[in-house]
Amino acid sequence: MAQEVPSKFLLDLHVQFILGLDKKKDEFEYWASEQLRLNGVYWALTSLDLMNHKDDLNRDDVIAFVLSCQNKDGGFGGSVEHDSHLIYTLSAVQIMVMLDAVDRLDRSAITAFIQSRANADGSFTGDAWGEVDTRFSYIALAGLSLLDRLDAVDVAMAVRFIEACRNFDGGFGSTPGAESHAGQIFCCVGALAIVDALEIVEADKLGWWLAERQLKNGGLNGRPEKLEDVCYSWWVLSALSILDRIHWINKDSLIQFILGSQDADTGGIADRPGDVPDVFHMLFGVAGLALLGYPGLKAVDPRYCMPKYVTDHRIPNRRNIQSREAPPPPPSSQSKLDMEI
Amino acid sequence: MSSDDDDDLLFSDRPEWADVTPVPQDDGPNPLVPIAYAPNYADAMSYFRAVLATTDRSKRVLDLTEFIVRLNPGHYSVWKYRQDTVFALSADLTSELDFIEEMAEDQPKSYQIWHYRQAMVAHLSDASREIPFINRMLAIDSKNYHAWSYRQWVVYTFALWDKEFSDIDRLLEVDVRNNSAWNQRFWVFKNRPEGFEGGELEKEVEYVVKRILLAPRNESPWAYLRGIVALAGKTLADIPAIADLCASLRDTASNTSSTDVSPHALAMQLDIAVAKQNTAECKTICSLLIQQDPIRAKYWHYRLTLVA
Repeated sequence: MAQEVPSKFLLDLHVQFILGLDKKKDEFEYWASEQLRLNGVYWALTSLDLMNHKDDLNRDDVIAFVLSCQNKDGGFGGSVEHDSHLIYTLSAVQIMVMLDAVDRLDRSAITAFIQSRANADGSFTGDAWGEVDTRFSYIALAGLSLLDRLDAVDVAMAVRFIEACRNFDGGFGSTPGAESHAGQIFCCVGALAIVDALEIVEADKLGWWLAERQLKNGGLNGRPEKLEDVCYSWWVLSALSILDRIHWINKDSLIQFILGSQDADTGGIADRPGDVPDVFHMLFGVAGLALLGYPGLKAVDPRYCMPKYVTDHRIPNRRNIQSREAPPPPPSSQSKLDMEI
Repeated sequence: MSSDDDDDLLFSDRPEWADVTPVPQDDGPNPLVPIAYAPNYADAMSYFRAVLATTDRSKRVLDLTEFIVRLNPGHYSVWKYRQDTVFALSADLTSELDFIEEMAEDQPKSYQIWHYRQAMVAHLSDASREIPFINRMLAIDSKNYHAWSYRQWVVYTFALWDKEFSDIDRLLEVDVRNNSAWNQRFWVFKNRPEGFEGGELEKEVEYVVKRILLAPRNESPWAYLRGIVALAGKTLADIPAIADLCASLRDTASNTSSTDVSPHALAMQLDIAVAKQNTAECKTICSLLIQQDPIRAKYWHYRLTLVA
């Protein structure tokens, strides 16, 4: 454990921590996470922007790197010469939106890639390998909305699949029947918010379940009886914020928990106090603080985990969403081996 | 699988790869994030690029892809290529299962490992090894999300409903706070062919009550109880045993002059009082919850506004 728990947000140190990331190239973790590189740039850029230091990253270099990760199928890999995956495709779009460089993207190629990942039952696969997960539903809908191309997929079916993943406790899992998990709940609630279908959510029931994630030390966990982790400051809070129930958790004790997870020597935020910081927890700690209105940080959009000024600009009051049918029954599985879990 | 001696050799030093020209990484000019690989990884990836370019489906590809995913288990492109190669070669899939079992011990949370396992078992149409394998993984981490999701696929696809309850009972015996096991119990009742008969509810409530009494503040069985009552088409107020449970937990606390009542017991009493439109009781319970669950006081204030 750190000797002294930081009680203030160490903004300057965090900026240095992020800018120093690409100097650690010789470390095992760096190249072993090669396929995450595009995510890493998104985590770093968003953290910096929320801290009012976006310009510390060279815009032209970032844009060139993003474009170098695009493949012929229109999707993006995690790094140069990696196969396309929805996860990196969303990071690419988010980065370019934040850099106001959407005009440099081939929107129709990206749209076609996302479209190609849609299944008939409304679910999405992440890549050509075929894994199904509500994370991919979120990514598809968030990405298309940022490109203003939600018309490219059957939004009503996508909503129907997410609804099939709603559980008895009000939460959502990765596939129909899978356990409720705060990360998946962010994805499902965020996706539903983006396509104006929040009526699928049992808001009071889910809001209480999310509030139950707060532990005595102020931190939040992702499932009952699991350890607290700074990243849930984002997954839980964003969903509560979208449901207009963020005040159901104790704000001050959560702020203290996140501040206590900062590394006062190196900068950066860890998963919990005393652990080694990384850029993933850096972003979700900062974004959590931003959502709680911590001073000195930009407002963040809980649906996109991007600065709010960016999404306000990118997504004006535009709603070209198909009207939805009455709530349908859960989808029946097609062939047994094709069942989505 | 290759022998240990071979594992240390660079692919450029292996005779069976002598006919292949490796394709080095092209980061382009002035890369933002140039990647400095360990030499053995860079060497293997150069041969992987060459394999991709020629769609090599020979047996040596299995050694190469194994080498890479052992160093970098998240590399989905390499996994996918291995899968296609295994199928193209009609290779022995049981040795693939051995390989995955060994990998999963070290990398239990790799999405790719579980997805690969599923692809192999779907192709084999034989799940005889799966439940024992999953149980071994759950013995390491009883809440492994991947293991549980995969278990649902296996149980559903191969109709292995019979053994689920004994495994769930065992896991709850070890840890009554295992939310994944409670979720699985609900999932089985909801999805098994015979469904959940209303007549089973009484016995099931008894099962849950017994386990709530072991740890009354444990959120999972309370949420499960709500779920299973709804699945049977009933409401909490229909089941006297539930009202009795809550009342006895509250009595026990007041008899010991402890303020330590499970908020879940109070919350359930509140829902029953709401259903019975007992406003005075609702207000009393909300006030208690505001005191006893202070971290969520604002939620209980909200509940109070709904009844006032």
